[in-house]
Amino acid sequence: MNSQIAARVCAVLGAVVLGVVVVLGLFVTGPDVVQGEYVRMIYLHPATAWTAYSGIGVAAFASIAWLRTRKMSWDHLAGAGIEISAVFTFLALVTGSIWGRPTWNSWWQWDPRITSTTLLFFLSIGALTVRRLDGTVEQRARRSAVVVLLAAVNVPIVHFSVDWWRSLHQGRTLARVDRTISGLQLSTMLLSIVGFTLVFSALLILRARTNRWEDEAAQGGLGEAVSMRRSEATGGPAASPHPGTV
Amino acid sequence: MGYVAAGYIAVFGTIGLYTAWAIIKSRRAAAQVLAAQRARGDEQ
Repeated sequence: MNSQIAARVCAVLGAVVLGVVVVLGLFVTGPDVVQGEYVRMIYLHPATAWTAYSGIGVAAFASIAWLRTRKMSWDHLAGAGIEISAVFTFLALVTGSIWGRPTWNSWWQWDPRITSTTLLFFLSIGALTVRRLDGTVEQRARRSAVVVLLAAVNVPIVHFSVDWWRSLHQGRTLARVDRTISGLQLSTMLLSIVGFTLVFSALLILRARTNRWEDEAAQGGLGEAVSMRRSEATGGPAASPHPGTV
Repeated sequence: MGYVAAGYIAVFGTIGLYTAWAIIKSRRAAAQVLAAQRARGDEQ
């Protein structure tokens, strides 16, 4: 299966699964005894955080692979992963904030989980920013890899912050023995994680491929510019920007 | 339900906009690569 078909299959399946999640989350599951209607945010918020973690995990793996092999396809994957992570970290913060307003009576708290997630968001933005700086593709990949790995170090801090420090944010929901969620609520939450993972996979393939094409187009344009400059300097005809093609 | 609706709209609206932007960027990049390949073909 080529990457285009894989991306389309993941996108269609993801859309269908998330459609089911919306129906279940808004119309089928009931309100919670403690949280009331606001429990419906649990079908989105943990899945957005999971997708953000996945994006940074892929980006960190690809960054290490680039540092070891110097193959540009790893950098394209790292760029895609960190970008998707930035989008979904933002969504995790937004959904958390929307949930926090009616339940904590506050849009924002200097809570360890929220603060470390915000730091993760800014580190992701930092990685995307250094990817835009002037320089060669190798310089871009190296700078990006360093910032991505820095951001990846923050992920365990975000995840375990609710255990390590006194936090307003609720503790783990799934990875605990006395699980407080069950039945249709649990199924809908797990289904949302599956749906978001499928959408994440589709976006990852799409963005990594676009990064590769943009590099190819930029290198083609650079080759033509060098060729024109050479021909201006020598007064001769422009040489092919792609050795071996003429 | 207002906050819940706002949450769902924020999430799916953002994902929709981001996906649309990613598709547009992908098509533009593909067109640029195709144009560069055609230019090389013309030179030959």
